[in-house]
Amino acid sequence: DGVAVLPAPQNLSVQSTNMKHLLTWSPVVVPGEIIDYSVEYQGEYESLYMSHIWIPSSWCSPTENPECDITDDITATVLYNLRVRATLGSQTSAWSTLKHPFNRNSTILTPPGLEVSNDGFHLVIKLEDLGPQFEFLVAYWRREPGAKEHIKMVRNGGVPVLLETAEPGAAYCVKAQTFVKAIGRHSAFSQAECVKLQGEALSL
Amino acid sequence: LKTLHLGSCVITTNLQEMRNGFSEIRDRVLAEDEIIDVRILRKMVSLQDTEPAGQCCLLRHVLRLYLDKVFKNYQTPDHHILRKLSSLANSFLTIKKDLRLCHDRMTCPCWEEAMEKYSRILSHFEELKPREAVVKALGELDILLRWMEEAE
Amino acid sequence: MKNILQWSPPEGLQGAEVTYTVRYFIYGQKKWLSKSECRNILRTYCNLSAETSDYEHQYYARVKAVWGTNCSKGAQTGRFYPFLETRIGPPEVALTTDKKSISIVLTAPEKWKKDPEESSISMQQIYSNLKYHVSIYNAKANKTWSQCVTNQMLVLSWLEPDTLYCVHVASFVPGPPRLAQPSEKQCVSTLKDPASALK
Repeated sequence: DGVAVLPAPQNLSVQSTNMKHLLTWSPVVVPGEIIDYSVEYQGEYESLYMSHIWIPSSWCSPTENPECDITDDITATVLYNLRVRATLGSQTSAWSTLKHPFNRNSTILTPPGLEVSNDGFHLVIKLEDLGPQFEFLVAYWRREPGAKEHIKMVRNGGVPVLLETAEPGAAYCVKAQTFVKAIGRHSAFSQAECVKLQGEALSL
Repeated sequence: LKTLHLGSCVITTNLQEMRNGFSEIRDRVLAEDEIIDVRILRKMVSLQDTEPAGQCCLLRHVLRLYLDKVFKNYQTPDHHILRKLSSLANSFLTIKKDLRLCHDRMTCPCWEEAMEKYSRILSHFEELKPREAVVKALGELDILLRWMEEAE
Repeated sequence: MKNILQWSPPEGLQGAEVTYTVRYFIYGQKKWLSKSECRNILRTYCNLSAETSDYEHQYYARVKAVWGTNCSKGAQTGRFYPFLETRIGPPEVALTTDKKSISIVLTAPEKWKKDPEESSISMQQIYSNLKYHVSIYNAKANKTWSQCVTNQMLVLSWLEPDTLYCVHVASFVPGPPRLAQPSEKQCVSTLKDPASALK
């Protein structure tokens, strides 16, 4: 009756960077045929309270690619079960389930992109727009021996933000790290970028 | 990440993410609740009108009500609503785990006032038919999230 | 918190002499309440701000149309929650300039009030986490930068003399998404610096 004749997808795994989560698997190959895949997920709540319930993923039920962006499905900091099956016409494979449940708090956080410029004596920074989950901790200091490091929280990226009103002729250096409230973790600091007021950014 | 102060129990939670999730389905969920003269989460049983020491207990019981009886029993063919409710349910589960830790550390005592308020909430819930109660409780997530926001 | 109920005339009766009667309901209570100023009216809106001024409650409204001897079924709104759904207006923005600085004083928008004599309630009192997103545009350098502040007094110092700066400000409250209403853009020039004029 066409059930489970098709091999189930293998080698499921999740790559997660900066709260973008991608589920990938090895493609099922039937020469000359296009295989569809369906992805479903189950949060810890479903597995504890409604274990028979699996929820179709937002973007990959179905999909032709052997990968699925599950970012919009993984929206709580709990363990998620994930499964995939292949479909070819009326043929449907068995479900293949991710060996270890995925929790978004394991995402890799990379240092943010940072542009430092000035408008007259105003030190202005623009941080990489990584989405609403991200805040930024920005450290800056005057480039001179023994200078004190100042810290400022910046709520969103993608827009130029005034960091400090600086003193004429001074050179300032800036570095930043991301902070993701939902998982309570932060990235490493970015490389420091320096700028001499009335001048262009200096590379270190 | 918001810090909720519930008496001596202090937890952090992502209210903004829950707010955003619920606002996407709010109108459709509210449209299903046609009983407009009954409210389950009433002002006089609110978290804010409860002694701080009992707030943790009250919230813990209300979350248990939602996890045990509301999210579980809400049926919908609409996958978008299903996903958003799954997100809320799993976020509530995270909060309930944190409140459990407070309970283990004896910072979540259940005294008479909190239990009396919870039993009134439960009776408002149980006065309704099961399907009506579930739909109404979901529609009142606005109120519950507001209670938690006020505990910041 | 100025809450206006609006509706369209019944299909096919645009321009006809149709009168409307409005009633409203407080969620969880027992009776539909009427508003005398919106009984048998010709206009297609009704200001329910006074009736919905307790922003912690949630409300419904219903409108009935009468045309000659014909009376319509009531049309009903969804559940309206002023605290979550009201739009937050822009603050008042006062700018004063100096040679190298601009002082910005922000005054939070006020809650709607029925009687102008009543004491005002600032939206800051209702939304303690109200913030302001201040955008500054340097017309000479063609550069824009912004700042997110919670306080109502801001001094932009070390500006360039004799330069046009434009400022607009939007209030926002973390929570459910709301339509932002930025203030009108205001432009001012910093004063000339006599010292540089002598060089």
